[in-house]
Amino acid sequence: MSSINLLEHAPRLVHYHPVHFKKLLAWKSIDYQMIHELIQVSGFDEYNHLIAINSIFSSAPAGMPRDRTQTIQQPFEFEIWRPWQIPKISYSLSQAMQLRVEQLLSTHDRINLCWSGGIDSTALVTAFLQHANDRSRLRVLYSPWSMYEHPEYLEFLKKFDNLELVDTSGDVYMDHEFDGIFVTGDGGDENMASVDESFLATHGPDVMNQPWQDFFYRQDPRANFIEFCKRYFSLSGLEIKTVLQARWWYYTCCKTYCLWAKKLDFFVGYKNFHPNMLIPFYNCEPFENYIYNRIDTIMPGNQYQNWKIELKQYCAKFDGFLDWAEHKTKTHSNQMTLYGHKKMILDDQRYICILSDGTRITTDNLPLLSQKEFDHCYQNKLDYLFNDPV
Amino acid sequence: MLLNTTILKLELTRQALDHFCWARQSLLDDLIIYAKDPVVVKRRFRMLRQLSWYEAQILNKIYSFDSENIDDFSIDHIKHELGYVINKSA
Repeated sequence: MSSINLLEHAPRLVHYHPVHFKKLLAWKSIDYQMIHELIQVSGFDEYNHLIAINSIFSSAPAGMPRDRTQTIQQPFEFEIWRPWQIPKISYSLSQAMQLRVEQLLSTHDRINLCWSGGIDSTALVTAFLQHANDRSRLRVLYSPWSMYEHPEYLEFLKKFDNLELVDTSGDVYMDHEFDGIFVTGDGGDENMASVDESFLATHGPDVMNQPWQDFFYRQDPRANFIEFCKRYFSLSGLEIKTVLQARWWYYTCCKTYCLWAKKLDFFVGYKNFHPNMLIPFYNCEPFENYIYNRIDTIMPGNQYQNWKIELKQYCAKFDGFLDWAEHKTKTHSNQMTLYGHKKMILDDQRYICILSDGTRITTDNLPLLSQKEFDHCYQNKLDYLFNDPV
Repeated sequence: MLLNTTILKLELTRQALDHFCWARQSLLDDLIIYAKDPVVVKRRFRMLRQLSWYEAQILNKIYSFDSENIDDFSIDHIKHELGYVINKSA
């Protein structure tokens, strides 16, 4: 086998620690600048346009875009597990949820449902409760913050026989290693345009219906940028007209792995750690197919309270919490990320980056990192993760 | 010029100990303030244990660390991590 073939199968980048990773860039004399938390590398013009789009949509962009269309040279070899494919089948929400549950039930025996109390995780737990014949295979992991966010739902869950409920707070998340896979509500935000309350507050709720070209032009009038966006948006297979549609496409195509990857910290210390043990429920074909022809229904009336209304109604139909469905809005449920960071630090499972086969790139004395210690461990073995500019 | 890493490590250790003292003091203050709340008391004692564990881990790492770059002896990242260790939501 040639060395080129070997590199094709080499594990790719899944997640990196920004502070340590920036040191690597400096040692490799890579010319970059930070756009908030995003790394803009010189010479990757098209990729840098993706960063520019992110900066238009968010005042504090975080998490590097990963191009699922695989048409853009990226500065780093990110793993893309699910390249973009234009959906050919259309599903209703309940069909999509059922299909996803069946998909996961068919591949794993023990399924941990990470319930934060938010809309996406409540909907995924609801879907499993409806479609899993044997609920003893399910374990709901929650924290006190899940209870604060949706107290009635915990009481509702307690009514199900054979459903294991575990409060992960205190010593539990630090000391226990749960078996099975872990399903989170990740991908829900991105597939539904990552509508951001501060974006609506800044630009007004009607911004979502504006033509994206007018809006983009006001933010970043470079002609080549607008031309790039036209080309890139056409890869969606839809005619992208509004800001809402542009947001849907960008977050679905470029950002579905960003929030998910932050939760890997929780599991890096597990004996059989592999990134695939953490499953973003909504980052899947059925859900993508459901939303594809219904983008305009993501937030009826441009009311933030109506964002994800169908998902909330899906829950209420099963649990009866109509008031919750009507009034619940997005809360940034970052408890698992917080637990994960602390656990990773105290277990001394720090990393510079995590690769797609579960390899943790690390040195003995992290968080202290030097080129001398890095070269001692890796020399140039990781150079394949860094692409040359086109 | 050869870098005197011993001096840099001593200085980093001093700064780290300063931060650990501050963190420990803050947790002990909480123990007094919330003395009648058994849940908070339990949590703060757990956090004190975790802080000691973190402190030992970091001091060992500083001792073993090897670098030829003065910028690598920065306290910033330790401070950042310490924030997670004593985060009262975790």
